[in-house]
Amino acid sequence: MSAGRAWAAGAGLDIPSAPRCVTQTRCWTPPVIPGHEARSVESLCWAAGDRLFGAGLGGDITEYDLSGLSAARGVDGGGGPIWSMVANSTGTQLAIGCEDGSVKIFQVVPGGIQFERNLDRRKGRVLCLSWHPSDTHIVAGSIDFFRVIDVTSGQTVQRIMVNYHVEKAKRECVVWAIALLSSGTVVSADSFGRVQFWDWEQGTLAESHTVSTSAVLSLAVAQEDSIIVGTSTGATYHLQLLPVRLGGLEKRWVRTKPFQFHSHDVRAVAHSPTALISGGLDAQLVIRPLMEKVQKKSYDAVLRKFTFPHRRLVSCARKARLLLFQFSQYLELWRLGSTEETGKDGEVLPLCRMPEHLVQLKSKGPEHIYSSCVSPCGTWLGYSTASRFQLYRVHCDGDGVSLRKVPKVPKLLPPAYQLQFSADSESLFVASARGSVHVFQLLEPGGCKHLHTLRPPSGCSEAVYLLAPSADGHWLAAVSGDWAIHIYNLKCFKHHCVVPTYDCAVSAIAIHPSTNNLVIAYSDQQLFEFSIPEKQYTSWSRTVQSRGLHRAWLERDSPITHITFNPKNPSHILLHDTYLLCVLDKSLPLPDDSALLMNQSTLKQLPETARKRQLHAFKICKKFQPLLFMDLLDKNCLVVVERPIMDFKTQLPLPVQQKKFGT
Amino acid sequence: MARRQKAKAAAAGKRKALAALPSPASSSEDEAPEEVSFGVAREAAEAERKLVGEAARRHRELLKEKRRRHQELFAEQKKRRLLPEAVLQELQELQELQDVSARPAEQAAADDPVTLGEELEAEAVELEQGQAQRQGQAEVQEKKGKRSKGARTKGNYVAVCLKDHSATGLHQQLARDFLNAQLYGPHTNRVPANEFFSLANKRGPVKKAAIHFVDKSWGEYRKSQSRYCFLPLWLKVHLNKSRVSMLEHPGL
Repeated sequence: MSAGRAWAAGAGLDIPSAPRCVTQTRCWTPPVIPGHEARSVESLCWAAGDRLFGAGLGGDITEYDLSGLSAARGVDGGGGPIWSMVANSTGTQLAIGCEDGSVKIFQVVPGGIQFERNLDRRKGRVLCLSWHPSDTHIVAGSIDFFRVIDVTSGQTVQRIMVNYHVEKAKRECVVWAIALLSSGTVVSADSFGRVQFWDWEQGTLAESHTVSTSAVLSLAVAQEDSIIVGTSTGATYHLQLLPVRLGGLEKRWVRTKPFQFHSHDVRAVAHSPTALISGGLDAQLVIRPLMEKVQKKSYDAVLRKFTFPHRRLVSCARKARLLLFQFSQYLELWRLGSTEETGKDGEVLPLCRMPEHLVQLKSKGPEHIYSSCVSPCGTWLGYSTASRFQLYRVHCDGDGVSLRKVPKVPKLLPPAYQLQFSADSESLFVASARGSVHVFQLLEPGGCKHLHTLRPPSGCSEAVYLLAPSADGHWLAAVSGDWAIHIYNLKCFKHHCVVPTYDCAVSAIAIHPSTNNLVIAYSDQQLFEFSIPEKQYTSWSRTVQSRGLHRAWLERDSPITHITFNPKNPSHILLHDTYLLCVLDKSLPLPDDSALLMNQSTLKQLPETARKRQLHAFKICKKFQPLLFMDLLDKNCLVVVERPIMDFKTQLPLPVQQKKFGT
Repeated sequence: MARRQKAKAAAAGKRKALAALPSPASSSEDEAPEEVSFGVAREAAEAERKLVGEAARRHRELLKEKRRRHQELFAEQKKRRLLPEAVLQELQELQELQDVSARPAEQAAADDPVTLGEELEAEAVELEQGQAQRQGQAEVQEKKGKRSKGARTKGNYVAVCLKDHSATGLHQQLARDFLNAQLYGPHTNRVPANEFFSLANKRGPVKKAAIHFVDKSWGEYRKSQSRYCFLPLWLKVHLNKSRVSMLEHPGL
């Protein structure tokens, strides 16, 4: 699947790399490559199999290291800001379109990329590029015109003015996206809202479709007969090449399906064989499977929308009642408020102490913060970026809060992918590359010593992205990029065992404080419980697998991002995803498909005896959405962090006005 | 009739004027050119050439003078900016000493005494202990980075290279401006966030109020006005009251 133009919000970008298994879109927790303030990405493409390259307005072509999740090598394009980059059909060459009007060809070699040659340069920035499927020609779109270049000779063989047909051309026509089909048709999308089909050899316009009043910003083609375009108003359109008469030979392009999934500009679209994928400025990624391409009408054929990142951005210090919020360039530490009153179900109690914003810690340098953590006692705080790792000591005395940086933090090979403090706040676990986890001991006045590095016995090329220490400090579970879960014994720093492999990404893990059972939530919504001392799945877990989980549970959109436990009741497991929080009671029976999964509201209305019959293990609350975090504090308190969508939508760039009848 | 006479008079006047002027075109057409002997013509031409030549020579000499004066002025100014000769001499000697022990290539650029003067005024100047300099020279060579490059002996400071301003920032800014102008320029029909989201409030099944962000400038005029309106009114009311009371009780 080719990626369309990637858009960078502001100048930094967290790129979710394309899913490892394209067809199984549910089995997916995307790894994230942290962004950089100075690096703006305008274009991404895959080359030479599975190497990811990005280019942007900084003028550099960067290769991304997918196992290390960082930007690996950068080569200066040499033509100023790069507006677009495409790979040829074999993935051996990259063509870039630059600000100065040149199109340059780079060769993809094992170590990186090498400049090969410059093609014919004309005045006017090259905004979009496309290779012919046979790699003989490249079409380059610019302002008011596009040109077709013969790759072997490097000369422009045709130059076509796009604005010729508009009578009163008051402003210039920008060709935002272009594609060259194998039949020799050039498809162009311009800022007047038109999608036009040209015969480049004759230099004639075959068809012109005005799909929108505002600009058409992106275009993607699949299998030569299906095109998706995205516009400035947030609408996406599907165009298909259909025969004029049933069974006839003559075919025409027709705009078949309009979609309005986004509220802001759609600057990146992609077309896989079975689905249309669009990414908008409103922070949503929408996957719309095409009905006619889907064999089985199952849950996979449903529209998927992804708004929030599937990783943990909030940490909680339970004993100190502090919350740490991770933003891309700074961290915020808040103290929770408290109340003395009690009330009934559904009441909002008044606070006697308001929540306080204690400190905002800005990260040094242009890189985005990758992970952060606060210790359970609330006195240690750490964060990591792509090139540095910082640890701070927090002192809260009365009203004032002071942060002191811990000097002489042992140097590790950056970046640290995940940070986790132990339950007694005496050790820090740092997830690193190649499956290794570093254990640091935290010394009292403010120091840090490297104790040990835990490594999987058979070696691993991917980085660890999830950590879970046990409450008694005996065990540590680590999940690496190849989805293997390793369990280490912290008393003797040895590898204990590996959880049996399951072909799906892990989205959350946690170790029960009293029974030392590892609870695992996978991206396909399966739940497992693995007993660490016994090195096997527990009987409850086997029951769950044999009975199967409820259909409504398996058809949820977002993965579980955090698991926690109730110290008072060892059979409770608390989980949450973006749209619900659930208390799983292992002592109650599991629901079968005929029962209602979200039955809390109906149970409330039933009398006591009837309630006992219908009670099942899943107690789900959908009152708070969208959820970023949920954790259990002491004294029957649950903290839930919601991030209303309207809060950040109003801070996005301006949307295009949509005239509605009657307003 | 009067108009026609006036026009005739005007035309006649023009013809007389034309005749009075010595028209060179007509003279060259009608009459033969004047006869001038060769020698006279040659002398006239030579005289003209001499004049022109002298004028050019004078002009050139004037420019030379100006240039010479400017050069002297600049030399003067340069001399004033440089350190006194004694210090320069000392530094030169110490420089030669260091050349012997350290790598010559890296010192070459720093040797120029003119740039020394400018570097003193540069933004990043670090002070370094002079005593440690000689002993630390061996260490300095091993140390990586800017500290060892261009290390001045006599050791009052070290000049370091700051981040340089290249043209890429400017190109990037121009590209971003183009993108902003195309996507958010005047012709793009963009609407502020509150209008856009209020649409959903008005069209939904439960109609709600439009979203309107609080603006601090609301009511500013009224607030400023009230200060002026209130006081005169108050005075009026209270002065009247006291006047009335005095009238009612004339004895007071």
